[in-house]
Amino acid sequence: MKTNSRKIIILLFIFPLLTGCWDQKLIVDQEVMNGVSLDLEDNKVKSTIVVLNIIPKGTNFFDFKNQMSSATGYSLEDTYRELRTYYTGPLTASKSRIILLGESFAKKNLNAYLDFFYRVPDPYLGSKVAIVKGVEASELLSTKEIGTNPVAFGLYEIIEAAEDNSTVTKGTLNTLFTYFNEEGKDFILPILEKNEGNILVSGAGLMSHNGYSGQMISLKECSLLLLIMDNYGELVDLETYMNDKKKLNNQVSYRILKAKRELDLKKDASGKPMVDIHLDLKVLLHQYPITEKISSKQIKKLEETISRDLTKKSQSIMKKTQKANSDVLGIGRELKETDPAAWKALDWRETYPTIKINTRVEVAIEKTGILK
Amino acid sequence: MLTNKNLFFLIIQAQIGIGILGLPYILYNDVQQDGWMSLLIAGVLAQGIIIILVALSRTSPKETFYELNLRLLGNFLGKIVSICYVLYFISFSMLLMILVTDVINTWILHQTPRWAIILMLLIATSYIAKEQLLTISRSFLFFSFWFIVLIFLLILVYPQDIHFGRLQPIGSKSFTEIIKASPDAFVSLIGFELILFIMPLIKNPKKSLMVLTFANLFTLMLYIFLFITCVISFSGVQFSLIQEPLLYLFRGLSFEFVESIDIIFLSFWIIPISTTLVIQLFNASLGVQTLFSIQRKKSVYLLSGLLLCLGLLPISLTVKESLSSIMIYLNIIFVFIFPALLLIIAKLKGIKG
Repeated sequence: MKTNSRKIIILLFIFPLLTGCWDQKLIVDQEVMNGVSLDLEDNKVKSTIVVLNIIPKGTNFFDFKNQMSSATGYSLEDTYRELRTYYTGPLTASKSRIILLGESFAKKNLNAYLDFFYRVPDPYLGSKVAIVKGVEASELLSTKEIGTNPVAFGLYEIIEAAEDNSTVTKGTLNTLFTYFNEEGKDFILPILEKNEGNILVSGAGLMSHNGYSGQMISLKECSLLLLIMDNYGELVDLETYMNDKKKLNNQVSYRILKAKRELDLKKDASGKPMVDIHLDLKVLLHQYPITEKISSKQIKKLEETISRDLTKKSQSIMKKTQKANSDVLGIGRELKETDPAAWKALDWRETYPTIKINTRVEVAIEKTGILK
Repeated sequence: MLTNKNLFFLIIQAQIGIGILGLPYILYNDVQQDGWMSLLIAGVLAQGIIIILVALSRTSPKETFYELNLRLLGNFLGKIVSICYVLYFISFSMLLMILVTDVINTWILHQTPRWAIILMLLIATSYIAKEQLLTISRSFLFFSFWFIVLIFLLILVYPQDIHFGRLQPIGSKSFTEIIKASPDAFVSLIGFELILFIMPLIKNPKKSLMVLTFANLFTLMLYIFLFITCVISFSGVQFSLIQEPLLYLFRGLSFEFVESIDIIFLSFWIIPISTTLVIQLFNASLGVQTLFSIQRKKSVYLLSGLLLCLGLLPISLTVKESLSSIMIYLNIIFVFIFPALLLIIAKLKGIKG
């Protein structure tokens, strides 16, 4: 009798605990924003969001519809309050894929604006961040689909592909948080452009002071920049003209098999830092203007041509970063880590555009594909 | 009787707790990238204290600390010291539970009241703590697989965007600053004081020093690995902002099929927290048992009820912060100074007798 009543009491205690979790946020109750875009409009922030609605159409068939809405206000929180009223459930950024920044918005101090995403645990930090050039960022989101993907997912995949092809460095909202607060190192963000209805990654925007500097590295030079940054993707393809006279079908292209970068921080006579960058590349030839046997003599010559070309290009890239005052290589960080006293004495923002950066690229052709 | 293996897992589970989450943040704010040196110093300090504790409990291996207390200090004084110890364990568990509920409230369960989380924790911990020590240690052995998961997850951070240079410049802080930061690190290494209370239950007391040393080494290595992983993944100002760096590390990780690893991790992280709590409850209940001759099982329930009542009290941010700073000193007093004094008394008495 006693044990029975005891069992009943225990059961009575356990039952309320078994009803499950009540402090929960079911994804079906929420409106999940997949894409966010931020623009600057008459000194106000205009945020636009895309919420994906999946419409089932019988078994295994479904259609989707993007519900887009925008709001303007003086802060993100301001616009969020308005945006919330457009949707049937609580809005969440826990599955957002992409954050697009209008060109004028990107020039602001982004760290201060994006704090919203970092301070609370809900937003998803794996989303990609990109700058939109030419048009308003919200215009890109108004595209219904890219390929067969809904727009936010399509944009995500475009940027991911650009990362794999070494157009831009791998980056998410999370890495951005790290970059924002790093002394002596700037970063790049992918630039999206609309070209006759198609969206493409057209280059890498150089960031300075946590904002877009307005300068960008064009698509063709991006891979080399990434090699110099020593932060490249899975595939790195480059090409060089055989000579300056003829342009049409006179290019040799090659894939990087192995890259080794050495960054040598030195001081010149006046005690100012200067940098020697040495890039050692092992390449595989994958396109040659004529299908013929390439003799070892020609290979020697080719190596020289390519090395000279890349050295020249890399010089101009570094000049561009200096013009944009964007220390993407993290030379300042290197100085801070190896010579803290010198770092403290310098104002890096003013120093970086004036330091001397020498680059030297050496190329060795290791393979010529399956043809000799 | 406890074998060496049981003892090892008991100690590491007692040591590793809340520190995993917050320690790197605290250390970084004190001495930046040199925090691992403070950790090492705290580890050496802990090792010194372990030697003292083992020496003390070896003076009479058949007695627990409370019995030893009563014998050495006399009935009145010994009882006061024992009560102080019980109170210390209660306040330690209290602080632990406040910190845990805070983290859970901010990261996962935004609306669940504090008492509900504390109740859940207490149900689970008292269920283990009321058992025999051997049962506790066996369940801890099982829970220790969790550390393998932790280490594996930490290794997954390495292919991400990390920069080893962030550890440089090494030794930029002065030696005194590094030493000053070590009490903060020491708090996270606490837990080995358990040896005082379980000496009579150990099968092979002669090996206990070695086992404790290895356990301490393991904990220390885990913390240093964690700290270094955090330093190389976060940039300076960012690190000084993130209160739970370990969770933030995992927040950045994402895979094809699994997202929000931080939340999943946090759910499992309750395990090492509860094990620390189990040990605290065990220590305290042993004290209650010796002092008031209540069955240990019953005293565990009694203490859990007391802790739940304390958890119902409204606790403001200032109270929490002052409690954490007081705790740093209390730890040193109760884990180091008291046992050291007792050891001296025991030696003096030994010479006399």
